[in-house]
Amino acid sequence: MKFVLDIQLFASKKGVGSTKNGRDSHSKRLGAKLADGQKCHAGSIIYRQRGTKIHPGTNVKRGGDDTLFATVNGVVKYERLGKDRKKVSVYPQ
Amino acid sequence: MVQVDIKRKQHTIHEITIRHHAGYAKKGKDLVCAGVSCITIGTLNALDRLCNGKCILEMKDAYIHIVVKQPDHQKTQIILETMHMQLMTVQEKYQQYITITDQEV
Repeated sequence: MKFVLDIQLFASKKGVGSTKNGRDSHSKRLGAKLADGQKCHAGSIIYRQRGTKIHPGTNVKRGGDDTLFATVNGVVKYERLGKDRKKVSVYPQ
Repeated sequence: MVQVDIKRKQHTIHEITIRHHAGYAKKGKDLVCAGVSCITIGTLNALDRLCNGKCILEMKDAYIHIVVKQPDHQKTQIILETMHMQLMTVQEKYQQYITITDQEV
């Protein structure tokens, strides 16, 4: 045939643009691992974080990735630090 | 919206222009466009094969133009009227995607 069928001859040319989005990293399960009032052992992780959302308090140290962990056996206590910050401490029983 | 313009002299078709996008759906899924494309391109091939030389046929992207050089050629008129009926059938169902004007000039 002289005229070849283009079945979308009168379709609008606005095709679907490609999106530059659609990527995401795996979630790192940050946040509290022990709640206020919970018992813990020395070395147990209390809070996973990036930066110091929560600061280390009594008997709590900060790891290389800002993780807070207990240095003694005891009970976890979330407290205020100054006007608008928080810290977590462990008090032996 | 596909626009179909039919021009007649003493009730016989002299010129037909079909243009614009249907806009029913994205390219590849546009049903109205598919129907109109089949009807119109089929008609072009029919005119080319059965009424050789009686019409000037032009087809571009979203544009078809038919100029009838010998309006009194009955077979040409029947083919064009058939296409007109087929397009009207599509328009009956999809008015917002195809419009047909039929005017005496």
